[in-house]
Amino acid sequence: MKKPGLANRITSTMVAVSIMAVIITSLTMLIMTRQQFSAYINKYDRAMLEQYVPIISDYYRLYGIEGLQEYLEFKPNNKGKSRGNGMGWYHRGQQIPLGKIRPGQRLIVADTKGMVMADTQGLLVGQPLELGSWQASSRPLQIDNKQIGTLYLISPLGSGLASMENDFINKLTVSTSVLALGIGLIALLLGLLLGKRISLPLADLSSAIHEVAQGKLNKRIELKGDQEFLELGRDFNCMAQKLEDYDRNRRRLTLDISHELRTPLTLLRGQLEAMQNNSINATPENVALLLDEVIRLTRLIKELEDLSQVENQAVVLHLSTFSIEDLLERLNPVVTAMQETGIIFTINADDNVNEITADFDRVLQILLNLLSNAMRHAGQEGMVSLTINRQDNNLQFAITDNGSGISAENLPHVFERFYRLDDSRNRLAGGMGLGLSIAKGYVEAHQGKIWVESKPGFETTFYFSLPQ
Amino acid sequence: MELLILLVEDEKKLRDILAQQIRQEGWKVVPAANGLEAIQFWQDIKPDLVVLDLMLPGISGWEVLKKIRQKDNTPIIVLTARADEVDKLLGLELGADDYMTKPFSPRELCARIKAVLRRGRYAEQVTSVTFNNLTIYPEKLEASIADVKLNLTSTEYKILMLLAENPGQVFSRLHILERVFGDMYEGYERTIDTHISNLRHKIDATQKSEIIIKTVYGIGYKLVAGE
Repeated sequence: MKKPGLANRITSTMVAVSIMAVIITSLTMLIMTRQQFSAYINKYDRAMLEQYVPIISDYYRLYGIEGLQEYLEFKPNNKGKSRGNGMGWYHRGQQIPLGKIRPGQRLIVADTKGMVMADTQGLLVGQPLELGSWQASSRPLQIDNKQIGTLYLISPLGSGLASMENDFINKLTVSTSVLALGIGLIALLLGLLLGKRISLPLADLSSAIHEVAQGKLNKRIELKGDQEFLELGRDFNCMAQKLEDYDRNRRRLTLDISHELRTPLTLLRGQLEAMQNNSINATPENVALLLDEVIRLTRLIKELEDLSQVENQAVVLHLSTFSIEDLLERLNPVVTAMQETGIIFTINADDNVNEITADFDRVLQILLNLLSNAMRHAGQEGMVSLTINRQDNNLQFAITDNGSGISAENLPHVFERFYRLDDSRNRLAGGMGLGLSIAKGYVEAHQGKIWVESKPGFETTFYFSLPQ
Repeated sequence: MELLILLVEDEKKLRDILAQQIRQEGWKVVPAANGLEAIQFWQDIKPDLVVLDLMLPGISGWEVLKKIRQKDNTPIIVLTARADEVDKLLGLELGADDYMTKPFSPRELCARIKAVLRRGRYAEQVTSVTFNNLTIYPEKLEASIADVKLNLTSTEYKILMLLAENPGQVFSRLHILERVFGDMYEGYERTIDTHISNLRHKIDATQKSEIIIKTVYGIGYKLVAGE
């Protein structure tokens, strides 16, 4: 079963959240409205009662229960004008104006036993009071601190506002639904947009990875989108670059190797064919020349093997402790070769350097490679020096030649395999270009460090240090 | 005395070339093409030395090596095509007496066989090498001309030994360099000239020399008889 996409998930979440937000807001509003309404009614009714209680109490004190019903039923404003001043209890009533009873307002006076004594609508007089569903506020009527009854106020707001409230709630429900729908739509749109914003770069990345996996290593993706996607894109491009470099390196290595093999093989073949058709005699002398090529090929294979060990970090060290003299003695062919070329070769070893713990053959190989390199660059009548000293727990070797130096642009590449400053494939001048990379690998197998410093036109020094 | 060598190598061409070279040294060869044959023959003929290729079909050279070492310490020279096998050999110290990495020189193999036997129970039988009035004593690392001892450096001794073991044969500088110093020094062929020159001076200084180290123009050197 296909899992829902990220974009769909985001969209549906956004829609759900926004609709929920609308509903919760509406509910809150509803509850708050209800509370506000009832609070308003309570406040209004209380204010009204405060107004009527003293008036009715005064009347009661002056006239007793008699005429209370009529008093409540009359509208004081009309009383004077329409009825004149003929009847005594009107005058009684006139002395204490009741004030305007608002339309719909109903006042009920009950005695202490709950029997209705007076009612502005005159319906319940003489019956026990049953409020039922009416919303009524009440106040005790007191004379000289003695309760004589209770005044009830049934507010028009009680029922009138209740229907208004229902009205409001209905309207609110409708508008909430409309709002929820509207906001849900907006959320849907935003969600789709956001989802696209997230899923588009991911889709790009996915297809780019696919292409790289199929060997299109030059594939790069355009950096766009949010911070995370920019970083992801950069990382991807960086990885693709590394892969491409690695691949190019491998191709170059194969080409270089076949080139190196081609020359001696051509020579061998040429000579052997010439011997076959007797244009060259297969004398021991001529065979010796062929043998030389075989020895060179063998050596090349050995170097490639060393290189592959170095590159696979599979160098197995055979550590031993040996004297520096033993090591230097093995440099005799170098010393002789330097003399013959007219190079002044000096070796300076610190007095406190006596023994080395390392892989003898590997250290010798490192020195031979660096010294051969120095010798090539020093040229005739040049100078080469080898300095060995102890620095803390390291033995540091420095091989200096006063040759033409290495330019800053070439310096970072000198340890690359098959890298040659002059592009000549001449063995005498160039070597095979593997020496320095093998030296670097061997030094690193010893957990040591190797680096080069050069002053162009003046001198070059290769350093390496071996931890002891 | 006639030595018996068990040669274990699965590549027929190489086996034939090596067998021929060993026979030329005057030794007897029993060839084996796989590990099973190797163990079988080793038990049957009790050879004086085994030349053993590590990469064999079926039972590998490693297992053959272990089997033999479980029983006794017949000298074994191992042939290998891979550098990491050499590391393994040196690391495990399984008891090979020497090893050679392919490609190698068959003659070098014979020299190694001699060297290994010399170290072992045949020490007393190795005699001196002579050519005309030059005599070389391998155990003492000494050489003399008509009883006059030559005061040689170890390099000069090794060069003279190489030439004297194969009189008349032309050796290129690179070849000498490889045999004397090992395979690390390619590019230093010319240093051989210096050593040869010193060697000639020391030989001439005896004034009794009946040997000449002859320069072969453009190639190298050979040892010949002469005034």
